[in-house]
Parts: sequence; structure tokens; C-alpha cells
Amino acid sequence: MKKKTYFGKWEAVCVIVNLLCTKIFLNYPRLTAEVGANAGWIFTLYTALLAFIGFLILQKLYKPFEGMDLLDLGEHIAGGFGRIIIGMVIIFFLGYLTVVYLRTFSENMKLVAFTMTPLSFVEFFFLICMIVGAYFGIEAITRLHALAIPFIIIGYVTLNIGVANFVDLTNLTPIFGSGLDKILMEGFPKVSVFSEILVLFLMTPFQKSHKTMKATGFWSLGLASLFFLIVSFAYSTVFPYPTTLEKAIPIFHIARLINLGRFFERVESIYMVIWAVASMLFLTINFYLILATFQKIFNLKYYKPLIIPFAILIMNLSFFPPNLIKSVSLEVDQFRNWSWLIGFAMPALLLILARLKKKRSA
Amino acid sequence: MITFSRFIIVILLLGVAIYTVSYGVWAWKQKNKLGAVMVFLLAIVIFVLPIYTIWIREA
Repeated sequence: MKKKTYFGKWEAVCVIVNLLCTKIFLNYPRLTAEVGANAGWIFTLYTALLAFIGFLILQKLYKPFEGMDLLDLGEHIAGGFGRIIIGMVIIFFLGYLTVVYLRTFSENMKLVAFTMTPLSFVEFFFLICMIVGAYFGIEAITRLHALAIPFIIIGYVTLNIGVANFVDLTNLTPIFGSGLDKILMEGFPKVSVFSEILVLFLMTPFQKSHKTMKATGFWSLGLASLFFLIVSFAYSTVFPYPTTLEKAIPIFHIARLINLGRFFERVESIYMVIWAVASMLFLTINFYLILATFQKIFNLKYYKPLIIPFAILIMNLSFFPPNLIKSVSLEVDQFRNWSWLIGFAMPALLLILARLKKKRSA
Repeated sequence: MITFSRFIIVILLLGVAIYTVSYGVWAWKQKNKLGAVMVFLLAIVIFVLPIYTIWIREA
């Protein structure tokens, strides 16, 4: 008999925190400045509060469905058809993220370190990690997260502490930045920065109880909110507004400022390492979940024969945006405006329907 | 235009597509017809899409 895979709270927290926080290395700090101007930290607190409220409701609704993921819920409500529809939506969500992030990570990596290298060659390295990770499976991926994430966190916090000399608190004024009304109105759909929490509802069969899932969700959201707050505070105090709108890779510009005497120069190389590792882990878990979802919705016995075809598909789709600006826009201007519908609204709707069905059949 | 590198890419794509189709055939024999059809579709997409990207979009 095949042994059922379980992993602990720590592994799950590491996966979700990495999924939520990888955007810090791309465009999250600039996004906070775009919405909140000098008050990026208020925007961060506001979206975090919305995400906490959303998760609080979701985990309460989830209580009677311990051990069931969203695909099982879809099947519970509408049979095989429900499972396929929900699965396709999840594949679209994860596929969109993977395609856009693969392109953006590779373009940024090329911009910073491999200026002469062809884009396809840089993407190829990410792709190899995705293929190898998917081949080894969820247990190996989560354990790798559990090992790597503490080092990434240490590197990330060190970077933010390293710019303490450049912090100018007057950059936070006017205190409400672009205005509270703008932050509240425009910030609402941007709760989508937390929409990767959806992955937690795909990992429920791997968690032993509802209590573990609940704790994982709150810890992940708490840690992610803290890291978002640290970076939005550092970015908006180190660079004055509107310079904050101009930085292509904000955290890289923060890292380049750090210079600790004559002994520690070019600290951005730490940033390069943690960025590359976080990106690879992000893409690998997303890629695995796409394969696992495809396998589950179509009742296929194996997912490994699908690894190479899906890798080709994702790499190919990542070449569709004509340039880096377009691929960033696909994420920031589009995905981050509607992905809350899939990350929060869809699970809520599913859980309500599943509860109604359960009540009716009882 | 067919260059040597493009020729190699097409051969590799063809190999992966055939491998994917063989998995689809296996799934079909296991009476999983919907799964098999989706795998066949995937095989078509992964062969056609890169060719479209390389020849038509690049042109």
C-alpha cells in the first residue's frame, strides 16, 4: 500500500510564505508606492488586514471539510464536472503566475547579471529546477523549502537592516501619502497580493488536521505581512517619493546602497543568491501543483509523463509578452486586480455551496 | 527559414509529442477517455505552439 504523504506546519508555512513574498524581489515595493505614494506601509497594513479577515472567514467555513482540497469540494458540489471546472480555474491561476513570473524573473536576472545571455538560456535554468523539483515530488519540494527559507529570511532581513543608515523618516510625510480614500479604494482589489493563499487550500490533504491548516494560514499571513511591512517601510524611507516609482527592481536598488566599510562591498550579491533561490522554489512548487491538479481533475494515474510537455508549454507561453514592461503589467495591472476573486472569493463560494449541500443531504 | 537549430528543436518537439501521445494511448486503454483526450490535446499544443512562436511570431 502506498504511504500517504503528510508534511508539517513548518514546511507548509515556508511554502506559503515564499509564494506570498517572492513578489518582494520583483515589484511589490513599487506597487506600494504606486497606490499609497509615501504611505506604502499603510497600504500594506490595509491589504494585510483584508487578507486576515478573508482567511478568518474561509477557515471557519472550512472546518467540516477537513482533509478535502478545493477539487474535492468541487466534486462534492457538482460531481466530476465541478472538479474539472474548479481544476481548470486553478490551473489557469497557477499557470498565469508561473508564466509571468518565469519571464519576469529571467528578464530581471538578465538585466542585473547576465546582460549578454539570451533570455531563453536564462529561462532554461529555471526550467531545469522546475522539472527536477516536479520529478522528485511534493515531499522533496516542501522539505527543500523548509531548509532554504530560513536562510532567505536571514538574507532578506540583513539587507533591510543594512540600509538603516539611509533611512530618512521625513520621506514618510505627508503621512497619508496619496490620500486615505485612494488607498482604501485602490487597495481593495490589491488584496490579490495575498491570493497565493489559494495554494493552502490545495495542500489540505497533506495536512493532518484542520487545526494545522488554520495555524499554517495565520502564521503564513502574519510572516508575509511582516516582510511586506519591512520592505515597504525601508523602500519608502530610503528613497523619496516619486523616485520610488522609477526603480525597475526596487530591492536591488536598496541592496546596492549597502556598503559596510572597506570590508563588505557589493552586498547585492547576497540579494542575487536569495532572489534566485526564492524564485526557483516559487516556480517549482507552482509547476508541481499545475501537474498535480491536471492529474487529479482528469483521473490520470501518473503525472511524471506530463512534466516535459508542461515545461515546454510554460516556457513557450512565457515568450508571448513582447517585453519586460508588458510582462510586469500583466501581473501588476491585471493579475493583481482580479486574482482575489480566485484566491478568496472562489473558495468562499465553494465552501458555502458545499455547506448548503451537506445541510440539505443531512 | 529552416536552420540547423530549428531543425533540432522540431525533432525534439516531435519526440516529446510522440511520448505524450503514447501516454494518452495508455490512458485510453485504461478506459480513461477524457484524460486521454486531454493528453492528446496537450501533445498537439506542445508541438504546434513552439512552431508558431519560432516561425510566425519571430517573423
